[in-house]
Amino acid sequence: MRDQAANFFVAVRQSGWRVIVMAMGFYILLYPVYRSLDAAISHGIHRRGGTYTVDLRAMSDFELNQIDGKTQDIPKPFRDLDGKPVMLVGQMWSPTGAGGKVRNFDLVYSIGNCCFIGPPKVQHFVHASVPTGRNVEFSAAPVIVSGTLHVGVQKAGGAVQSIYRIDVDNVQPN
Amino acid sequence: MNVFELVAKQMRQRALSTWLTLLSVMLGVALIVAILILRREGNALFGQQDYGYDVLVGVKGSPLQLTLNTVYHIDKSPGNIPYKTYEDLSHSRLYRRYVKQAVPICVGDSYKGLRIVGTLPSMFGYNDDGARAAEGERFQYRLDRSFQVADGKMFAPDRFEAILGSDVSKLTGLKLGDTFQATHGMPAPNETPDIHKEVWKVIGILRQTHTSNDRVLFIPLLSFYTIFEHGEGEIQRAMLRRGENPLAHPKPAGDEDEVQHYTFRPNGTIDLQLPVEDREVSAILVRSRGEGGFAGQALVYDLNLQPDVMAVNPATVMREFFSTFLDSSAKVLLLIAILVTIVAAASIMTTIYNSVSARRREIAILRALGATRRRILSLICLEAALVGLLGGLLGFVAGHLLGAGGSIFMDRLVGEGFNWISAGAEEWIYLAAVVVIAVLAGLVPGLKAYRTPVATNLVAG
Repeated sequence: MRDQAANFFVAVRQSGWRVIVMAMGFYILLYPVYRSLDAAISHGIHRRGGTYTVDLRAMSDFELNQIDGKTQDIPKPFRDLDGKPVMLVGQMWSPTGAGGKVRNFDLVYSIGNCCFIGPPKVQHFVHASVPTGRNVEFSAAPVIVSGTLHVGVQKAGGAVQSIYRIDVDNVQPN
Repeated sequence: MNVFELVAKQMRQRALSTWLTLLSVMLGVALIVAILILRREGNALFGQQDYGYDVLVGVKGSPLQLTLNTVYHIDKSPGNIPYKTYEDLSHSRLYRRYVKQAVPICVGDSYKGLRIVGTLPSMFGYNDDGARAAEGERFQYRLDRSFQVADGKMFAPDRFEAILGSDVSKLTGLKLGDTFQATHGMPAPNETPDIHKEVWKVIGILRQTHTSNDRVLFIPLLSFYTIFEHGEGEIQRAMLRRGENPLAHPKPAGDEDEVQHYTFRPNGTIDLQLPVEDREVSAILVRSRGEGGFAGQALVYDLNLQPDVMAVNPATVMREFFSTFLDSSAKVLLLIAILVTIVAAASIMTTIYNSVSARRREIAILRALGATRRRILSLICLEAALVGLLGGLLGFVAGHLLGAGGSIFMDRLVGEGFNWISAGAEEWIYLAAVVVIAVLAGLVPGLKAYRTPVATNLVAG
């Protein structure tokens, strides 16, 4: 056993930098493929214990009619998260609070990408509500938000205003 | 004589140097405490956590200027936008899905240094007929808080009536039933004021809001347009926007005081002859639909694609302002204050060191009378700790008094003071750190005293 290990290290030392470069090449080429395959298969949803960790970007990466969209138009894997405990990583967007403690906020995967590069879409926003009597510290850096997710179209003014909402249990720095 | 009495006696013996050391510690602590209050309360004051509206619409330019001018009534108005933008936001199908409520404001005049704002009764949660709007339909200046009339009634949208912010009476002497005339702009103290001929009657006073609105005189938007200079200016700017030459529009002949763009109807209401397409507003306050931030952000995106109009989220503007300017400035000030604290600690060390040098015989006698080396060391450190604690407490009080001064200044500037009395955890931690630093500074002379040889110093005396 010790001989085998020694031989392996000798081989690595002999092949030297070539092994390292090849490994890096494989990583660079295959990691995006792995991520794409993982996202396609899992929809960015992974179960860890009783909580689902959900990729916010995957969660908003579908087309929805912003006027007439219906709950059925939301992909089933995300609809199935309705009422489930989830953990999301994203940036806080607080339209009515300039800092300090906030009572509610929106969670987006990237403020720059969701809101300024193209027209904002309702599926990019997860409206987070903090229970009455509590509030959370606003953070400009990405945060991990855990709580119970609610999925379904909410309309006002003749258009869709929200499809994702979360009752916040906890907010912590990412 | 117990330890404290001994230390107090030592301090009294060198009263002048003790007071000077206390003063240097006090100044250092006061500076830091004032900076900590400024940073914390500045965030609370300008970085509101509960804006009642989430979009401000104004002319393209500086988002900060638009926010400061519209929300805090400071800085100059960045310019005007067509009144049609307000009509579109309120009534067009395009914006109906984003906009829950829109309120226009016009600024540009003042009375005794206080701003006059032209707006609609809807800003205060009233319909044009004077009836109170339904609970959910009232415009909110902060989350879940709408204006309330404390005395009198709401102005009619088409009469020369006014409603005052809660502090205006105190500052100007105006009361219910009084009349006033608007001054054009905000003239400098040595400038001759240009007083408009129109006269408004005070018919209501608002309940205190603890916002800059408490120092504002509100008049109906329509009456704002009746002022000759406003009407003429708007006609000329509208011509420029249409690509026409404003000089081609002949200024009405005769004395300006005689010319006007309105008449009175038989019932006393204003009949404005300024075409709607020529009217302008300074800004529009918008409450977007839905609970979340999507509708507001979508509206901001849409409006910012237009050539003349800019939309901003006031909370974001103030957040960026704080992170860019106030936080950095506060860090620099904090660094200076820390240096002052270090100088104060050095001052404690020097003062006590000199005192120990001068009292070597005294210390030797104490030792000869049975005081251990440790007791001598603890006496010196206790003296340093007491100087740190007393200086720290005095500085703590002085820092809060500086905060009170800042609060009065801000109250005069924007109509809002801040909570300068309460102390945050940072201040208590800093106070404890000052005492620890003072003890550490006292260790150097303390060790000198610790090593003082008894025999030599007794003989030397």
